[in-house]
Amino acid sequence: MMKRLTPWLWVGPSALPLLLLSAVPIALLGYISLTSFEIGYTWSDREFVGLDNYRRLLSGREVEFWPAVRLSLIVTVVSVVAKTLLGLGVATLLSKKLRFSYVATTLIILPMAVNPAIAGLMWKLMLSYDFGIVNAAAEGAFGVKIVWLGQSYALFSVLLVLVWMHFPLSALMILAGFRNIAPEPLEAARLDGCSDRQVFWLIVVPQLRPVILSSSIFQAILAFQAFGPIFTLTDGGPGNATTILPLYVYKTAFTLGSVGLAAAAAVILVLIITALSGLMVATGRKGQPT
Amino acid sequence: MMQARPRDYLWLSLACAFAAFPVFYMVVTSLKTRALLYEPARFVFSPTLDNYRAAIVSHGLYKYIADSLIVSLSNVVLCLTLGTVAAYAIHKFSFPRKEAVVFGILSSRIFPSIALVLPFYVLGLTFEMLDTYAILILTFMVFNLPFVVLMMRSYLAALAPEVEEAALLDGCSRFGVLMRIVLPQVRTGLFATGIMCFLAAWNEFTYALFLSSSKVNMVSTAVVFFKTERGILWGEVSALGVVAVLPVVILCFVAQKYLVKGMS
Repeated sequence: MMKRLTPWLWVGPSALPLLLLSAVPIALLGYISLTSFEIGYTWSDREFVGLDNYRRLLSGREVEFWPAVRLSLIVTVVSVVAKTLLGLGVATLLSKKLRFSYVATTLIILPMAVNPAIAGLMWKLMLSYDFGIVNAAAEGAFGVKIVWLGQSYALFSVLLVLVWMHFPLSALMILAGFRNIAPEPLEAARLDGCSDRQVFWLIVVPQLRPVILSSSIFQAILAFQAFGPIFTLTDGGPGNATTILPLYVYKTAFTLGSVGLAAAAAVILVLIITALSGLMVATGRKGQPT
Repeated sequence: MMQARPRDYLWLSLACAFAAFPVFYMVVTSLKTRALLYEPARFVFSPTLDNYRAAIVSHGLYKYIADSLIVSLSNVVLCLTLGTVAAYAIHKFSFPRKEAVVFGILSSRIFPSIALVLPFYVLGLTFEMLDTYAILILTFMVFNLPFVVLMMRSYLAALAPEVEEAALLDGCSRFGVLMRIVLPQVRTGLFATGIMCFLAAWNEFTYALFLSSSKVNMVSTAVVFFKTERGILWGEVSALGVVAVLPVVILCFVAQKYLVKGMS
């Protein structure tokens, strides 16, 4: 009997708190999404409203919900493509063992070290219309100034900051993939007269495919839940121009106070991220050598 | 590998500039006087430490730094202890539904913080735990504890089991084996994992912002308080940013070789 219990005594101290900290809150989140709970009221004041919150969201009666989902999709797709291409390029350069590549790696992973909320503020300063360094450079070079955080360019600015924050991760993941590439086919192809470009796209990239795929899905998960940098950069604005799903959840819960409604949106967010994670596990299994 | 060409250096320099410039600019801004803030392209000036003095002393940033350290370090110690024990058990013992338990532990990491923060808020409200060290230390376990289990499992898997078995035969307890034989062998892994956890906790934003307000404040959320009616106090914010990033850069520098080893 004691022997059967031993493993649980070891795993329990981790498993139990995690159960309390993830399964219980997720269940509670599901429950909150079925109530009318609002900030400023006590928990016992809530009313059970069934699927009303979901109906309000999905029917479009909450006019800001579907645009937030659409923006989330745009931000995810565009930023993942940009992060992956940039990451692939940087990883390729770093894999060539150039001189100073150690220094370069250190500089390139710097964005990962910066607090996301502070990163958003730093970019806000750099992109400021009147005294931002970006506009100072643009004015010097092209004689134009752009309202980076205005209606038309705010989304672009958010994408820029997200790419800046997360492309180093893609670069590191893909760089790790470079170590598993067999050098022989590359040399053989070169002897057969392939150009560098052909070697890269026809031999190197196909071998990197699994790691590119898993880093892309991981980046999609990050992009879908991006909150800190956007909170400080634009706060979802101007208007709702950069209100992606996590910002919508925050505004609904903590600005409007409708926690029940926000919880329903959060459940939808959790479902999307769970699906993406499942996809990642599935492709990860497929990518492993058998 | 691919051959290096001269223009590779150009591209790599551009990528480095893109990655590093905002951090460099933050340092520059933190050293500027208020008047100079309106000359963005000016990089040569006599630096001042006024912003640091204002941020740390006048705005009470030292309290934020202390709170951040208390929360992050407590969380790291807790997660390393519980997570390593669990990882060792998963590595050594076989028990029913083991795969399900492992999956359950690791999958709790995927839930987005903006979703979990709502039930945490309700729980904090109900148990009167909002604005305490405890709620931050506990909620940060959601992302750090699974990470420790994941990392330590991979480090433990690389060990040869012979010494452990010999020690067990000689009458050492399972826990004694873990403490005296296993841990010394994985100490670099433990160290690297601890640093990654510390950074994640130090930079956490969502829980810190919504679950604490006046009594407990982390450096990561202090930025919000520099938004005044007169606009954002850029000098102070930059100084805060430098203070917040400093431990991270130092730790990354120390840990880089372990991190690279761990990633491959």
